[in-house]
Amino acid sequence: MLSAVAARKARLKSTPANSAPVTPAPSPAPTAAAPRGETGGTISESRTTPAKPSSGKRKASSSNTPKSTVKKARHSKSKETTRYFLERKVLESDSESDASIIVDGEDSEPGITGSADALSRPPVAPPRRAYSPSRPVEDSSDEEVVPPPSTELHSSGSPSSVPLTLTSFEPLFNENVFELTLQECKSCGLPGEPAVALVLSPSDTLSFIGTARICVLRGSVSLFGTTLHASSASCTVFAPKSSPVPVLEVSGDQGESSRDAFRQLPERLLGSLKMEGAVIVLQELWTGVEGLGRIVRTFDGFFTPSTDDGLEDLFISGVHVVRTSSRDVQPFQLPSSWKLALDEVDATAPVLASSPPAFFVKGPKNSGKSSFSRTLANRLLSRYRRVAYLDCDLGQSEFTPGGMVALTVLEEPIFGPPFTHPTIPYQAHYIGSSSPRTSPSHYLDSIEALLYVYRLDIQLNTVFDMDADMDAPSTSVHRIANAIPLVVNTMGWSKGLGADLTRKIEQLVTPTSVFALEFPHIPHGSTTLDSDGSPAHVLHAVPPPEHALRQTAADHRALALMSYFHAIFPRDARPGFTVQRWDTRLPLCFVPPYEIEVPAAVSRVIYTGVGAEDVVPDEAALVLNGALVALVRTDDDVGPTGADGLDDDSPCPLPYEQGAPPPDPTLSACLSLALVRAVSPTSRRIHLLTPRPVSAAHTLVKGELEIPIWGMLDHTTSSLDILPGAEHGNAPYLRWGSARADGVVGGEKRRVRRNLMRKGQM
Amino acid sequence: MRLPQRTPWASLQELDQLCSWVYADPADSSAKSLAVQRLSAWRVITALPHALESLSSLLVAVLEDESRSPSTPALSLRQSYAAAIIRLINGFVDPLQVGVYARSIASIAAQLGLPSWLVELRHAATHEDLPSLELLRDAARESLDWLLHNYFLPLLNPASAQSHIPAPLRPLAPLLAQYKHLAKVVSRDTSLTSRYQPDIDRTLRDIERWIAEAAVAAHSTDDVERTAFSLDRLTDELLHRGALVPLSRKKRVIPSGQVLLPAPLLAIWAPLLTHIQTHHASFGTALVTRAIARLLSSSSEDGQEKGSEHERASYDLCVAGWVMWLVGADAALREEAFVRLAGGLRPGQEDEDRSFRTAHALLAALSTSDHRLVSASNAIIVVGKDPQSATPAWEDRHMAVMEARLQSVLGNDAEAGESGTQIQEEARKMFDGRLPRGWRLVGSESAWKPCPIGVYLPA
Repeated sequence: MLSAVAARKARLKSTPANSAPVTPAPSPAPTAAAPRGETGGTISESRTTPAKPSSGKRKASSSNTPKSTVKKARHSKSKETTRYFLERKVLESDSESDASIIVDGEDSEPGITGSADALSRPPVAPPRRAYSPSRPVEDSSDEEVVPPPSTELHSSGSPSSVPLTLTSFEPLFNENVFELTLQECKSCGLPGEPAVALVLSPSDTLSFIGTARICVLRGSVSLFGTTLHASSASCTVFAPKSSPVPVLEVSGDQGESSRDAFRQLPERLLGSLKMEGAVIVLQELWTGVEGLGRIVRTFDGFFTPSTDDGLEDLFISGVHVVRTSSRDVQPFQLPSSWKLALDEVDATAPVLASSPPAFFVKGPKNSGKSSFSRTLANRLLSRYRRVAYLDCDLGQSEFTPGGMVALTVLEEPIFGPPFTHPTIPYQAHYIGSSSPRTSPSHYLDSIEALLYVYRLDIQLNTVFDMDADMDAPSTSVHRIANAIPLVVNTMGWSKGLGADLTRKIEQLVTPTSVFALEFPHIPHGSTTLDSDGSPAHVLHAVPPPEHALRQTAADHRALALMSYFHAIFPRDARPGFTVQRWDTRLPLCFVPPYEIEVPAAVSRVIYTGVGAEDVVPDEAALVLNGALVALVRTDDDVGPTGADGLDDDSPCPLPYEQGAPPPDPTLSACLSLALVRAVSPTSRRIHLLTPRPVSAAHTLVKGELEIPIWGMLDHTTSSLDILPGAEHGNAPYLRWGSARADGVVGGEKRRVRRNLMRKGQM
Repeated sequence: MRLPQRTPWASLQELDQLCSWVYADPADSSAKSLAVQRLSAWRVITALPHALESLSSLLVAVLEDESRSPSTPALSLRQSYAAAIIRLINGFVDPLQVGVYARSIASIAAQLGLPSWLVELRHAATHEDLPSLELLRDAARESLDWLLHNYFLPLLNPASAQSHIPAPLRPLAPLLAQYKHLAKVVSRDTSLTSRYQPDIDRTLRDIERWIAEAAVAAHSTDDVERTAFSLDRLTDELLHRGALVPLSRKKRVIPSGQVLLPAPLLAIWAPLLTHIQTHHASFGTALVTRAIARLLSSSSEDGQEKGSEHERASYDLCVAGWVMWLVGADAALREEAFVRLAGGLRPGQEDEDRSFRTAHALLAALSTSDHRLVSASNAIIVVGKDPQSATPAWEDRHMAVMEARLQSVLGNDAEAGESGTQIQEEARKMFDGRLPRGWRLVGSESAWKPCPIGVYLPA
């Protein structure tokens, strides 16, 4: 009798060996691990290959696994990853043929689903593993004598058991790692923080979590799918564990320009230089962004290694080298289809005079739209001085907190997840909800207004200072300044009304290229014509790493919003400014607010969202208390009417009109977000918290979005139930403890489930 | 760490006021319309609890009814009553569909204590003829009543409210016995598989349904907690003698002294366990945790079944066998099991108490094939053997170290206290004099001090 472990081992051992007898003809032979460079594409492809069970039983148990498995999931993850582990070998041998492999698996499936041996098959296998041609069908005759004990309950093969090598660079102090002096930093044009220069040989890769400033002194390296050439510019990289971590690779792409552009290297380094390879500087970067993890606790410690990640430091703090991928750390990988599409964008001749290109990115949720759009924008920034980014994703915006559509003009590439680069948009409109579901036409109008602004002001650069457009002389690559391309990222709601809205946006944008991220049901990697006839690049969807699913979309929204409220915007910050520092020392409830005289500073209060038209004027002040509001500039109002300094006690109704529509997007702009932390009893004064006090915004718009619960708590206490000036576990608008325990029924908001199985579904 | 819930009301007094507007005088229309206005405002503040959402729609219908002139068509009134009642029941029942398979609305409503005729009315209003105005009025009244007793009173006055008595869970043992019987038959003669498979499927579905029912019975609003509760009940049942551990001592383990389960036993139970695992990801962990708790508890399984030491040892061995099987090759689960087990075993206990022998054997078995765990388990054993060597002697200088640490912690606190004014100064510097008209930054000299969001302190 075999033990569970032994049985499993035996089976794994036999796995690669006897594929031939049971596989149908077209199956490619498994090969040894593919060369490193290619794993990027192949792994993600194999991950997205869905299980396509065809027998009734398999279908029920694998595809109907309830949602809770995703949410709770340490063990459920093994389902996907085992499949990936088993299939990778096959896919690696020929990544082009994975479509045929799926078919292959389906075809051969009936062969092993005969009911006679249904029980002799280990019952574990069906729900977890897609059929892999290289795996022996387990119906050998000896197993029929003794009904085989199922080998294990939990299949292994979590990512940690098949780790990818992410860092091959071996840091050796004073051989390929040099500490830079303050003087040397200055001569490289860097600020004074501790820094190290790394001499990378062509085969070296380097992956890390943490925050750092990166500057390429010589050669070029690729980072998040973008190539950085030697130049005077340094960039900031944010690599939390909650999103795929960067893998720095020496890029073979060393044009003539970059070769002679390398800068004055510190002399000490010259000895260890080789002809190929690259020299980069990693510098400590202290922004305070780590503190956000203490506020939104689902992200706690996301910039620091946990003990079992096996990370090492790299002579400067805040940067932890990741040797191999693990359960909590997954690398950013550029799928081959993305690479092809991006290379094609690079290869297209730049349009100088006429209208610059517009790129449209669409796809279902969690398919990697944001990552692709970001990479695309970064790539474009190596050819264009500026890139415009139109974000139509209300739920997870790239540069602003959620709930608004924004047009942002970028000048520097961005490396990191959205919450690490809140940026002042060129123009934005507040929708007030994480989905356009409740106000689709206002949403479309807002996007149309932004596109109008883009065409009028930005497209051919009629607003930005041309003098400042001269690239620094040390950068030899000339970037186009008089045309600004547009990248449009859309929302993930890709069914029903959502699909309809996306199609309408596409018509408004009239893109020159469309990138459609799709989970591979159809042949991919090819350029097809979509319904409107514009060429669409169909790209592989890349779902976020399994561990990232622990954080929900709501968690990410909360993080983005808290990032915004704790960000430090300088007074003279202009559109395009990206936040460099965060202050998380004080919870919001400790921060001294701004006091606003309503008659002097507020001309309108507008509530939008489902049911907002039912708020009567008497209740308007109640609604405003604790609300998250947008500060909106409107061109059509006359400004606040009242003068300040009137009698303090006289009641003063809010300038609220029941059922008023949201501000017209063609005549307004959302300038900032604020939290109304209190309203005075007479509603003459309100206390506001905002990182950007903006003049000219006299309209307050409250939508459906709320301040996340994290923003109402004091994160500096460990238990979170103590607030200043309130009893323990007792504060306005908050309720601790479970209502159900007291026998209260219906104390929570209604929830819906769409994955319930009915009788006979099994 | 438990997060609070966001509520639309600042304090329970506000909810109390709303309750009195609705229920104090049933004939007072103006009070009811005040309540509707308040509820509309609350809905914009944050998502309403379902009870209040239902209350709002019921009140709107009732108000419409009270102000209706006889000439207007009653159809719209009937529709608004019907919609209110349909949504009320759906909203209460749907969140409790916690299982994989849908349960009947009537059975969940019964567990909640919703009157069954309301459920029938829901069905009629949805799929059949729209009920009469009279019936709908009665239903609305009954619903309002039900909300008072099941939402407002327990929330406003937790102590005095009648405690909600959950319907007792139906026993699981017969289902398990039925499953065992079927699985045994099939495992002995595989040719019977196709004949018995429908029965087995039905039993599996029944067990799944039981899990869903148990989850509803849990006193929690949190799905994760609910599932945990029901899985704990389930694992308890599974660990009773006669389920995962057969009654017959001979069938329990392979008499090799090793932690291995006999094949027939595995063949019977493995399909069930894997089935549950596919639907409930946390099941494996829950079962391992419970099983280890069993091993570590010094008393016998349950009171009346106090057996001999042999009986106990054999039971333990079988449970340990299941733990080994469950962890399989899952490194994370293995580690967790190891930590739980190691945590429960006091160093040196082995010598004192022979009843933990199995636990120690399991610890050793778990740590094979993982060098980190091996070293950890060695450490435990070594510490157990020689407690003196592991505990360093107390010295006075340790006190000094602790003192220094305390100082540094307190020092940090002082810094944090300062930062408040510091930030204020920074902000002042940044925006002073440039603030929009009508704006001013509340300064440190003002009376304002930190307070929860939503509290107005004049500055």
